[in-house]
Amino acid sequence: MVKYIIKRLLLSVLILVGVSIITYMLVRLMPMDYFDRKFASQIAQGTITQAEVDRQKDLYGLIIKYEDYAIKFGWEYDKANVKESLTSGQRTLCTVFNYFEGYWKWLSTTFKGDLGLSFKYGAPVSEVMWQSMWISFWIALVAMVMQFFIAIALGIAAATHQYSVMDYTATVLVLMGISLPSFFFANLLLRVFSLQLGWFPYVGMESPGANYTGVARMLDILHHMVLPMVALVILGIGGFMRYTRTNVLEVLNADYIRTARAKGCSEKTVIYRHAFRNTLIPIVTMIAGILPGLFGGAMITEQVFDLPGIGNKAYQALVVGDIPFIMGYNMFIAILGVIGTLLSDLMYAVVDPRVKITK
Amino acid sequence: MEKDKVTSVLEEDNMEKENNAALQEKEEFLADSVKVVSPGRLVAKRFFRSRLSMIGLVTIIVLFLFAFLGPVFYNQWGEIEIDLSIPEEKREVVKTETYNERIDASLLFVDGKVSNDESKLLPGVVFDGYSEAGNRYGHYTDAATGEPVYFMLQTGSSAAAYVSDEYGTKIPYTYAEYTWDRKTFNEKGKISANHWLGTDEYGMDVFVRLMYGGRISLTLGFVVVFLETFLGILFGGLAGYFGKWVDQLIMRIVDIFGCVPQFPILLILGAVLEDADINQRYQIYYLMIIMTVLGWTGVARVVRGQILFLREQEYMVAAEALGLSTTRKIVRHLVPNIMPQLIVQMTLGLGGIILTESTLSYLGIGIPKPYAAWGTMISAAQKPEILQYYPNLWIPAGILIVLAVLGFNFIGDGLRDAFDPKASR
Repeated sequence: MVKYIIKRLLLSVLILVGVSIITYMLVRLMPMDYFDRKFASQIAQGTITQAEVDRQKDLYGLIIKYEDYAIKFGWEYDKANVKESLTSGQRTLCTVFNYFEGYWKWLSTTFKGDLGLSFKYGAPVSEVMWQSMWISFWIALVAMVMQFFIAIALGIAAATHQYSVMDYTATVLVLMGISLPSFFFANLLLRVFSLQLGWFPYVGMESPGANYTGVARMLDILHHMVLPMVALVILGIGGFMRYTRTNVLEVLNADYIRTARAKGCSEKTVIYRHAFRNTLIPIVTMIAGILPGLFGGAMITEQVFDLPGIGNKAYQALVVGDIPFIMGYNMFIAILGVIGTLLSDLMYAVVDPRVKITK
Repeated sequence: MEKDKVTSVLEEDNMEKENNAALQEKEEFLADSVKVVSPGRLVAKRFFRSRLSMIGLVTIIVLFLFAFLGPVFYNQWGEIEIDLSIPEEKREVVKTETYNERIDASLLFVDGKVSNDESKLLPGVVFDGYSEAGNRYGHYTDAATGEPVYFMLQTGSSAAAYVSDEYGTKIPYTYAEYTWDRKTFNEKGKISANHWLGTDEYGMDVFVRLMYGGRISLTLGFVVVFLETFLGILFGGLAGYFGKWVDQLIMRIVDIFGCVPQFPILLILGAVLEDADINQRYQIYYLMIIMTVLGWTGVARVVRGQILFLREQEYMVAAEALGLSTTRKIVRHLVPNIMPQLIVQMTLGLGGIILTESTLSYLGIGIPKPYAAWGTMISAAQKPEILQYYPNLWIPAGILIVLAVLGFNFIGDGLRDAFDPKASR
């Protein structure tokens, strides 16, 4: 077991390095106009010089120093016009080297526990992520608990009454939940319940400028959270419910259920004592797999409802090309994914004694 | 049940069995008393009997007809045709001022290139609308004086120039010398006989755009799913069949790709593509290829697992004993046996790809603005004004997406049940 876990952890490191290389290369291909954008008007007015902006860029390794490479490799170049005097092959080589150096720099600082300074938020990436992560986590946790109970109730009802009206209704409703684009459903909720009926506030986490404290603030936040919660639960319930239904159907066909019925147990006992407990096996492993993902945030839903969760923060950072934050966030998501699969595999062995982890 | 057994006997008939006279006799005997149905027919029969899958099939067919044949019959408006007719009395005065300055394009645009693309504007610069001649105008606040500066883009002399011209040429200045006064195109028009679902904020017919938008969404899914399945079968098959280091290598690559966060990566690539010199119209095809590259791992895992299981079956031992070539064993004996599961996965995947594509379009990195896509049409709802007062601009597109995804899911579910040999009905 311990050996297995160690092997899996080592493998995870390999996966994470692979993911980080892919992500870094892609991020570097992004248009790096964040600084240009930010300082464009200042440069135009002459309040800041191009050299100053370049110095900022250089800090993040965003400028390819052709001259340094040319000296290093002993290429001939024109001092006044370094970039143009190099051949295109040499220039590509410079770019490649610059990317590798940048990646190496990122990797070594990351291992020291420093994710860098976010361009957009002007604060350490880890700090921004840590703060917004918990907002996302609590939203996702409550939504998941609600999903879990509704889905299990629906799934059992649908499976015990297979091919009945109830089964069809539940299946169709749940499939509709899966088929709804999150951005559309979120906008629809806002349109109907916030703008038209006025029951819930329009976007945001708290009423702006209200300055509530204590219980009043809690209630205000809860009021704002109702619509995002409804959106998350309805969008996410489908997979859970179908999973439960399939498992219950499978368990109901098992021999021990026939035995339970034969010895005269009531239908209630058969379903809740014998069948339900056994359906929990796959569901528990599934939940173990989802658990780490709760920290990752729901990008689209958070963005539509304008919640300050990690998903929304990452979206804003992605739009402007905030390299440190994007790298930090992507690695965070990848780590959560790796932990999720590992947990669900381990849980499988813990919950089901028939499964033995050998390798 | 009886029929199933007969068909399975027939399915596995091979040379030896045919030579076996006794068995042949038995087969003839059975064929007389029982109607023989091929496995394919059996699946089809089960599929067509299920009500939900029929609903799904009809929905998808209707959507396809709507998207592909609709514009042929209802050709009053084009996909990007702007309704320039607006009754004289409804014309409203927007602004009557004359400016005569030259403005440096680098003050307006990120890359200093004159463009109609709002996302290329520097922060604080806003497009206000179109002039009578169809030129775009806007304003920004001068940092030094704090006064608003108005400008106009001379990208063309007619409104149609907006839609056909992606980037302006590299001219250093744009003129702010114009008298704009009236809104002359029918923007956000009401539902009428002329416009069945009204017009959008650029004066284009919503109903017609729904049809054109469907074309991309519906076909794109098919292409992505087929490519994904092809890659998945190829690599999953290799890993499962050869095992050892081939398996290790391929599965580690699968692990890495499976762990790359899909949505952030697509957003990054959207930005990369936007920057590259690619015709925006074709951007979605590049994104499609990337979606394939990120998405094949799921199929590969399924194929590998199945092949590991099937490899140990008796008929594979038989194939080995017959001395069949590796290719033949994989293509003729293994792949057909994993097909049912793959077809189900492919159908269910179609819905997922439509959702991803529409989300990308909603975020503005799918189909570029003037062209229609369902997701792009819903993105109009990001403006609270449209969200609240013009539901006809975005709700129909959302309903069509739901119908399409639901349709594919119903078909996929129906196929799964139909392929299931254990199913009693």
